[in-house]
Amino acid sequence: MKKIELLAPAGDLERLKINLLYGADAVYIGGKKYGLRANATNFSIDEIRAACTFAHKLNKKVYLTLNIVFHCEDIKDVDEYIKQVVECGIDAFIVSDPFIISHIKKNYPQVEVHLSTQNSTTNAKAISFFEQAGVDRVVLARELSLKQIEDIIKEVNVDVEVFIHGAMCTCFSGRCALSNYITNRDANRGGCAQVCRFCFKTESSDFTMATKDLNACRYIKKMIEINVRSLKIEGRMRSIYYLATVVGTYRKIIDAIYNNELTDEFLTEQEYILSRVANRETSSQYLEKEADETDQYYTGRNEASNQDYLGQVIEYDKNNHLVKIYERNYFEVGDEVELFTPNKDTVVFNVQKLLNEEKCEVFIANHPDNIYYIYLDTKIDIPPYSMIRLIKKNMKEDAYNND
Amino acid sequence: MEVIVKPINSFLDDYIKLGISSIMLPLEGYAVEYTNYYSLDQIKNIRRKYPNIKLFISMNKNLLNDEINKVKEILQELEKINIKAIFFYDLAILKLKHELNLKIDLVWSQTHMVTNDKTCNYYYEQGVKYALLSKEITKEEAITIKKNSAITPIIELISYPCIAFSKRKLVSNYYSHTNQDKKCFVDIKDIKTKQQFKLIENQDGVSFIGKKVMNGSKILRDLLENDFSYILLKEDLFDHEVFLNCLTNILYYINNYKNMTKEEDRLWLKMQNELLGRNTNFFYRKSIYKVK
Repeated sequence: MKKIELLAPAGDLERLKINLLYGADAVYIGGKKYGLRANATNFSIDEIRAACTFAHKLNKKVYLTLNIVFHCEDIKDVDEYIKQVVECGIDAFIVSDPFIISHIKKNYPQVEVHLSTQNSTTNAKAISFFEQAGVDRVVLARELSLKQIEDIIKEVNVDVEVFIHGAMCTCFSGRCALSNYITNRDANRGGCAQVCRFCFKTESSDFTMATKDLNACRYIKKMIEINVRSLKIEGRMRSIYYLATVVGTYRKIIDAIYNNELTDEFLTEQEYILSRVANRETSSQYLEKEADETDQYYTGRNEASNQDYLGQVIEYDKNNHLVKIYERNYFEVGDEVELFTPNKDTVVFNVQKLLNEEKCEVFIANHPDNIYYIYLDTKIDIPPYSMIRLIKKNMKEDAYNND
Repeated sequence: MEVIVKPINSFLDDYIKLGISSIMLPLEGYAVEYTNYYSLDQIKNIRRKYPNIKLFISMNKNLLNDEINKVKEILQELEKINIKAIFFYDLAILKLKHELNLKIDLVWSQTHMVTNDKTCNYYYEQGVKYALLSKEITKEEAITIKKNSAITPIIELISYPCIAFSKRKLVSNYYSHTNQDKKCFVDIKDIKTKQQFKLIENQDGVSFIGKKVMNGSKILRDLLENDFSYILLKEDLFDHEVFLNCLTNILYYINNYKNMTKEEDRLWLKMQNELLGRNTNFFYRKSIYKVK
C-alpha cells in the first residue's frame, strides 16, 4: 500500500523549497494564469521548470492549479499554456472544468489530472462521471464528514484527496459569487476578496459568518485507515514560517503513525505547535459533525498576528558555534527559543550571546530583515532553511525594560 | 422564444392566462437557492392538473452518497410523467441519466460555472441538451456561447439573483448567538456598498439572494435577434402582481419587437425599469480578478 501523500501549498519558489524540505511529498502551485489565487506571486514558466527540477531531484512532485472557471476569453490561449507547463515536467494539473480535463487527457495522457475542490464533489456517483472523463484523483468538498469520505472511497477507483489544514470557505467552493457582487472581483477566476470575512449588518446588530480554520491533526490516523490518498494543506499565500511549521508538524504526525509511535501526548504537543502558528482559531469543521455555531466567528475578521517567528537560518558556522540568521521579529539575550530544522531536529536553548551583522555583540535583535548571529553549541546538523521560534520571553529583561 | 417561469405557488392559472407554457419547479429536498419548493407528489398533481404545460424540474443541490438511490428513483418517476428537462448541478445526475438510459433531457445548471462555449459543447456531447448560463457573464459572452455551442442556452433574465449557497446553518447560528427567536431567514447589508441580501435557511443550508432585482430587459432584443430559445424569470421574493405585470411586458415585447420602433423600444424599457429598477447585473459589466 502506498504511503499517504502530504501535499502543501507554495506561492513561490522559496515556499516550494521550504515545503519539500520540511517533509511535503508534493506541492501545488499556481502559474501566472488560470489559477484561483490571481493575486499571489505565482510561478512563471521558468519558475515552474525550476520547481519541477528541484522537486524531482528529491523524488517529489509538483501539481499546477488550472482551476479557474473559464470564460470564453480565457479558454482561447489555454492549449499553448498547458503545452508549456507539460514541457516543464509538471506531474499533475488541478482542474475544475471537464472540457480542460478532456483536453489534457487527450493530448498529454502521461500527466495526471486532479479534480479541483472547486467542483465541490460530494458523492461517488459524480466521481464516477469524472473518472470516465479521465481524472486520476478527486479533491473532495470540504463539507464532508469522515464517514462520508470513507463511504465514497469504498466506491471509487480514483485517488481521493482531502483538505486537512487551513482556511475554510463559508460557502460551497464554486457556489459563491459574493465577491463578484460586492467587489466586482470574480471569485471563480482567482479574484476572491474573502467577502465572507466582512462584517455585515442586520436590522439590529452585526452579522458575521467568517469561519474558523480547519485542523485535522487528530484525524490523520483515521484518514490513513480509510485509504485517503493525499492530505492537503491550504494556503498558497501563507508565510514560510507557517508552512515550515505546519508541514513539519504533519510530517511528524504521519511518520509517527506509520512507525507506530503515535501517542496522545505527542499529538497534544503537535497540536500546541500548530496552535502557536495559527492566526485564527481552528476546529475540525465537518469531519465529525455538521459545522455549527462553534465553527465560526461572530466578530468579523479575527486574525492575530504571530510574533513567534524570530528568523530563518542562513548558515551555521560549526567552528565558532554561530548561527547566522535573517531576523523577522524582535528578540533579545535571555529569551528561550527553539531552533528547528527540515530534518525534524529541534534544539531549545536560551540566547546567551547575540552579534549583529558586523559581529559586534548586542543584546537585542530589533531590526527585522537584518542579519544577526546567535551563539549556539550543538551537535545537530543545522542546514539552511532551519528556523528559530520564540518559546518564552526573558521575563526578567521585560520587567527591567518596563520600569 | 419561450419564457420559463419559476412560480411561488402551485396555482399556475395566472401564468397560463398570460400565455406561459413552461414552468420550472424546484424539487423539495433536492434543490437549493429558491424560496419555495415542491414535493414529488405536488409535481405529479401539477402535471395532472396542467397536462399541456412543459415542466422543468430543478434538482440543483450537491448530492450526498446516501441520497443517490433516492435520486435514482425520483429520476425514474419523473421520466414517467413527461418532464421536459431537469436542471442539475451535481454530475451524479448526468451519470445516472447515462446508467439508467433515461430519455429525460437535462439542463447543465451549475450556477456560477456555466461561462464558456467549449464546456457547453463538452456537456452537449455528453447528452446535455440545455445550459442555464451564469448570471455573472456579460451579454456578449452569452451571445458567444449561443453562436459557438450546440447546447441550447437558457438565460436567467429577471430575478432576485441567488448569489451563494452555504451548507452552514448561518441563520440559526446568528439567532442563537444573539439570543433572538429563530426564523428561517435574515436580511443583511454590506456596510460599504449598501447591497442587501436575504439569507434563507432550510435543512440543506443557506441561500444568499440579492435584494435588488436583476433586470435583463435591456438585452432582450439582442437575445431575440440572436435566436435565443429560452429565458427564465424567477418569481422568488417578487410581489405577485408586480411579477405578472413584468411577465406581461416581456411577453408583449417578444411578440411585437420586430415591429417596434426605437422610440417604442425606449418607452417599453422605461416601463420595465420603473417596475423593476435598472440593475442589469453583469450583462454590461465585466468582473475582474487580477487586482493591480
